[in-house]
Amino acid sequence: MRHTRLLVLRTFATVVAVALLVQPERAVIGQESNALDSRRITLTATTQAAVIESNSVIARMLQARELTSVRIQDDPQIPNRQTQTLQQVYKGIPVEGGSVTLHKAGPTTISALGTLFNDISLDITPAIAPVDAARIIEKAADAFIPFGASPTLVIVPSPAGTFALTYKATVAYAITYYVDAFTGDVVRVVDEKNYETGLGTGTLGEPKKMATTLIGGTYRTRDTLRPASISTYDTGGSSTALDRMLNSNNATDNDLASSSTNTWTNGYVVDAHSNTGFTYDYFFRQHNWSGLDGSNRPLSDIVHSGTRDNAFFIAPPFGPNRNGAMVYGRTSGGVPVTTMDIAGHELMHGVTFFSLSNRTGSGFVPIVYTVLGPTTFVYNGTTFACSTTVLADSQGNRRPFFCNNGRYVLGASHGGAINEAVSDVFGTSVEFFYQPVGSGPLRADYLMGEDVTGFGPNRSLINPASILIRHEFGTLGYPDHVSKMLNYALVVTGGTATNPTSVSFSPAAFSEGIFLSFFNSGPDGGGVHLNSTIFSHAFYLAVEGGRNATSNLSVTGVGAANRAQIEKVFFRAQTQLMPNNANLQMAAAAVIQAAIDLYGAGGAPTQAVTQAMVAVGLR
Amino acid sequence: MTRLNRQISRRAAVLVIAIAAATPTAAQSPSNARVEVSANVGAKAGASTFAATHTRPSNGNETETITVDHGVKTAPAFSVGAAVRLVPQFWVGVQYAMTEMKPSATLSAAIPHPILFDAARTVEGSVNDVAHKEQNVHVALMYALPFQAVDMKVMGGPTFFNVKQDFVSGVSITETYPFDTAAFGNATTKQVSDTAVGFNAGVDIARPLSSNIGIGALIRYSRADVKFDDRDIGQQTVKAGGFELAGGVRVKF
Repeated sequence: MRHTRLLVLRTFATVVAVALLVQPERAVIGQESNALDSRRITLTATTQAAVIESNSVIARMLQARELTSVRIQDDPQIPNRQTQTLQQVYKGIPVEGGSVTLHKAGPTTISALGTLFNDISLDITPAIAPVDAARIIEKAADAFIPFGASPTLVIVPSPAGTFALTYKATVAYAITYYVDAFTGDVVRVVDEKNYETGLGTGTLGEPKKMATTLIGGTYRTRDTLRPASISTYDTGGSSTALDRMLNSNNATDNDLASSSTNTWTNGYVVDAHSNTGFTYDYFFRQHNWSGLDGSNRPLSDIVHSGTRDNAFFIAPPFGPNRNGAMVYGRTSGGVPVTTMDIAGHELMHGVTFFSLSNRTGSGFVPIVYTVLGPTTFVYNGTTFACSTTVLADSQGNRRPFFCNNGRYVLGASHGGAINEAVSDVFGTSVEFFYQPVGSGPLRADYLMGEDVTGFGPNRSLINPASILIRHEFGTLGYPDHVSKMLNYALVVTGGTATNPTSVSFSPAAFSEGIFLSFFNSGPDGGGVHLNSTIFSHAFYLAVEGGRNATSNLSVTGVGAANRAQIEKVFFRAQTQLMPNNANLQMAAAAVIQAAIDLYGAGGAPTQAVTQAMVAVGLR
Repeated sequence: MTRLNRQISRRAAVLVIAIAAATPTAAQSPSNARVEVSANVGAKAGASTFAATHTRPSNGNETETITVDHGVKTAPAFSVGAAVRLVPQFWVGVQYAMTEMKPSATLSAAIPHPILFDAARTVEGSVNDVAHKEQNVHVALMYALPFQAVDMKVMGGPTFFNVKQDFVSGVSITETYPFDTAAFGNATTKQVSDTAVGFNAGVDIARPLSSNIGIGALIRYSRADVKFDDRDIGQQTVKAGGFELAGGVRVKF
C-alpha cells in the first residue's frame, strides 16, 4: 500500500501559481525534446541565421492565424526601427505566455525573442459563464473585481504539455485568480505586486525641494512642475484608507499630504515625493523617457506606515485613478522605506510594466521555467519522496508535489527575477546620477536599501553573496551565477498529480542540489528577489569589470565614467526588446542585442555586457 | 564726468556766450534791484548710473538675486525761484526745481532651480522707462560778480531732495522642464520715494532786456545720496541731482 507523507505549511495562502515551462537551453531557437514540454518553442534569435529560422516559424503561425499583432511602435532610441509583439492565440483565445517580440528595421527583422507553443488542441467552449467565474473569484478572494475588469478566457500551458482553458481576473491588491472554465476550481493565484522586501528608510536630514501645489489655501504634495504630475498620498497608517486608494481608485486632494507653510518635516512624505521626482528626472535626462509609460501618465505615491518592511508598485487598474501606485511602508523600527534607490526601484517596476504592456499587451506573465530536482529531500529527520508527499496549506488544501519520473520538478519565476534585477539596476543608477560615489549615507553605491537605518543593505550588485538569505537551516549568500539559482519544488494546484493543469511554488527550495526550507517565510514568488542578483550582478560587472566569484571569469567593464552606456543598454533591453515571457537567458540576449543596437557589435559596451552575461552563466 | 555731463557743459558755454552777446534795450544797473524772480526751462542729466541689487527667498528657500544697472538720461527740467539781495554783492535765493527722466535699465538675475539646489539659472534683460523723478528745493547764497554787461552770480548751498525712483522688484521668466535654463520674460517695478539733503553749486548769468526784465542762463550741479529702504526692494542708494542747464526769464524789483 502506498504511503503518503504530509507536509503542513503555515504560510501557503498566497503563493504564486504559474504555468510551467521547461528551463530553456541556450539554443537561439529550439523545439525542446524534453518530455515535460515538447510543444515549447523558445526564440532568442539575434543573429541573421537564427532570425531566418524564427521567421519561418512565425510566418507559419501567422498564416494559421495563431499569432496576432498586439502592437507596432517606433523605437524611440534608434531611427527607422520598430518593435512588434505578436501574441499567440488559439481560436481567438490568448495563450498565456505565448508571444514573441520582434525588433525590426522596416521589413527586416533584427531580433526575435519570446516563447511559442506548438500543437495546441482543446475544447474552447467553457462550461461556466463569465459571471459565475466572477462570483467564484470574488468569493475566493473576499474582494470585488474592479468595474470593467470582468473575467476573460485565457489558455494556460500545463507542465504535462496540455493546455487548460481558464477564466482570469484581477481583484484587490493586484492579485489575479485563474478559474478552470470547466470545473470552476480556482487553479492559480498570482500576486502581481512588485514587493521590495526588507527595506526601510529614514529621514537623514538632507534638504530636499518639494514640488507642491496650493489647493484651497493649503500646500499639498502634488507636483505639477514636471510634465507628469506626482501626487503623494498619506494614509495616516489607516488600512481602510489604503484599501480605498488602491482598490477603489478613490484618492482625493484631501488625501494628499499637507502643510500650511510649505515646510515639510514628515520623512515619509519628503522622501517619497522628492525621490519619485528625482527618478522621473533621471529617466527623462538619461533615457529620454517620460514617467511610468513614456507618455507622462500621472504618478501616485502612497505612504502608509501600516505596511512593514516593504514598498511595492501596484499596476493598473489599481491605485488612484487606475494609474497604479508606488506604495511605501516602514521598517518594524519605524524607519520609512523611501530612500532614493528604493524609489528608483519601485518606479522602474512601473516602467517595466507599462513598457511591456504597451508593447506586448501585458506585464511579465507569471511563467515558470523548470528543471528536474532530486527524488527526495530530508526535513526534520524525515525523508520525503516526491511521489508520496503531499503539502497541506493553512486552508486545509492538500497538494501533491509535481514529479517527473519520481523527481521533484523545480521552478522559478524568471520574469520576476528579471523584473527585480532591473529595478535594482535603476535604483542604484538613480543614486549614481544624483549622489556622490562613496559609502555611508547619501552616497552612491551598488547596494540596495543601505541608507535604511538599522536594516539595509539587503542586496548587493557588487558581491551578491555578501548579503545572506535566511532559511530554516541557516543562511546562504544571494546567487551571483545561474548555477546557484534557487528553484522551488512545485505543487499541483489543478488537474491531477500525473497530469497537472496548474502548479504553485512550494517553500521547499533547492540550490546546487541542496535542500533549503523556506517554510517559515514562503517561496518569494518563485525567487523573484532571491534570484535577481544573477542578472543585476551582470550589470555591475559590465560597468566596473571584475571577476565573477563562481565562474572565475573576468569581465572588462566600460568603467565608471561610462556607466551611462550600460544603463542605456539595460534600459533599452527592458523597454524596447524584452518579451513579456522572458527567462534569464532571453533577458541576457535582449541586453546584448540592445548593446549592438546602440554601440555596434564591436563596441566596448557590447563586449562588456556579453562578457558579463557569460560570467554569470547566462550565455 | 559722464558723457552726458560733458555735453551739458558744452551747451552751457554756448548759452552763456549767446546771452553775453545779446543787445540790451534798456540797461539797468544790476546793483539797484533787491529782489529777483526767475523761471527756467532746460535739461538735466542724472547724477550717475547706479546698480541696485536685491535678494529674496525663492524656490525652496534659496536666494534669488536681481542686479539692475540703472542708466541715466537727459530730461527736461523746470525751475522757479526768487532771490533777495542782502548786501550789494550777496544774495540769498530759494528755487524749486523738478525733473523726471525715464532711462532704461539692464538687469541680470540668478533664479534658483525649482528642483535642484545650487543650480541657479542666470537670465538677462532690459527694462525701459524706469522713472526717476526729482523735486528739489535749492537754497543758495549768491555772489554777484561786478560785470557791466551781464549779471553774473556764483552760487552754492544746500539742496533738499525729494526723489521718486522706480526699482525692479521682481523678474518673471519663461522656463520649461527640466528647467536647466530660463529666459527673461519681464520685470515688475515698484516706485519708492524718499528725501535727502545735499548740495548745489552753479552760475547764473542774466542779460537785462529792460529795466526789470532780462533773460538768463543757469548752470547748476547738485548732488545727494538718497537712501531707500523698502520691503520689496531692500536697501538701495541712488545718486540724485546732476548737471542742469536751463534758460529763462529774470524779473527784478
